[in-house]
Amino acid sequence: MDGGDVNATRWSYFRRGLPSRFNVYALLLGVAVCLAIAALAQSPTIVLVGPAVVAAILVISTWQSAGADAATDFFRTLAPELGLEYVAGGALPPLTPLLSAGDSQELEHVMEGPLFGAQGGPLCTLGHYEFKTIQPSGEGGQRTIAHPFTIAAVEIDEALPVFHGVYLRRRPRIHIPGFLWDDWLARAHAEQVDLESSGFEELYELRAARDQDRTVLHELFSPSFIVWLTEHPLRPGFECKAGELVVFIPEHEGNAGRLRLFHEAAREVGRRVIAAVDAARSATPAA
Amino acid sequence: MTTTLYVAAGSLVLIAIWVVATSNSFIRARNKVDESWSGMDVQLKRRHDLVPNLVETVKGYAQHERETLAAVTQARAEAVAASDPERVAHAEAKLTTALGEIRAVAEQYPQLRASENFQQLEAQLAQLENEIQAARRIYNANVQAYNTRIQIFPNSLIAGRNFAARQYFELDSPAERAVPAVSFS
Repeated sequence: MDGGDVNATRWSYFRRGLPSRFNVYALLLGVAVCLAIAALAQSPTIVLVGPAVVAAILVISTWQSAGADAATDFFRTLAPELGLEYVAGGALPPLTPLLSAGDSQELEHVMEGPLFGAQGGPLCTLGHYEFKTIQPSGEGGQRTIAHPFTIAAVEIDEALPVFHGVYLRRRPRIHIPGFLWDDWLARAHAEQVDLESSGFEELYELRAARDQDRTVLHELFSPSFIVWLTEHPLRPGFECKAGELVVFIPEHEGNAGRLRLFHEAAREVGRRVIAAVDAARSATPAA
Repeated sequence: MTTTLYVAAGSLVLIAIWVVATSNSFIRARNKVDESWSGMDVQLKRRHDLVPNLVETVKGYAQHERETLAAVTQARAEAVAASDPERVAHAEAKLTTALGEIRAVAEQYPQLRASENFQQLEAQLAQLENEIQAARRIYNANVQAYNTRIQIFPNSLIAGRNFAARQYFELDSPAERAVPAVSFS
């Protein structure tokens, strides 16, 4: 699985699926229907084009289904390597701005398990997430825009009183005002936070809820964490709110090596958030 | 004549906008350097605060190592007193070396090494040293960005004497600079 990706077994599924009984019967039936329609319409064009269209539809649908099977295979094999279990689909509570963004949300290729594998830790849900926004297009129509991410959601209940809203994401290369795109942080009413590193600020945008304790925030973003984030090849973002930590990168990642790296990144962010929560709790005198 | 005047006035306005924007970018970059210096100062102070505890703990197990302990206390005092980057770097390097000697001393006292307090302090110290290292990299990266900004032409025309180049924070630690000896014999 080292250099494997989500399409590694797609071709073999396709070759197996193409001559399947279903496809043969569907092709025969399709050709028969085309010939019948051609006879009724007395059209030689339908005789020529009809069977070709039926064959093309079957090839495309077999290719699509091979892709889905290959992806399931890939994640089913990868999950135990990450100390997780493949559970196919699922849903996450809309606790953070990213998880509640858009008009609808989808989560697929879900892998679940303890964050630190055999060593335990809070529940981690890793998968392909997508939020969709519906926008009006010309002549009363609508168009759907999908925003895909690879996410790792970690339940850290103890973080609830400590992190009221911390949102870190990659800074876009070109600044586009929030109202011109589906900015999922626009409704979070969070304030921009400046950290001491100019390199970090070029790459990342950090925002925090207005009632977020700034000391705790600066404890979390220690110099070593800032350097780690700045130098990480995936440049992961994260959100922490209402006891939910969501680490994310844009696009649906389908490469085994990069998914392992992403899982490691989620562990590191989780470790640091847990440490910051413990430090904040030990600093606060018990009531 | 009027056209020439408009062109001249327009050019002057553009130059003024550029001067203001460039000066502001210098100020922002300089503030980042100052902020990162404060960030490093916080980490260094944390290390300074840890040293007396460490000395007391070691003293409890290794009373005969007075010279080493005195050297650490002296190095800490110098580090606390230092203010500009060059002196701070020199004093911190001295403190790092002295702390290294304490670790070497601890090797000779199994009871000290087994003590929970010492292990905790050592772990805290290692963590702080990581943070100091990271803070130093952030500071140096900020200094590099600032110095480049004020030194490149034509920015250097505006920078003049108001924006002086900053010094990097380089640890003058013999341990860090030492070239590892490789022997093939």
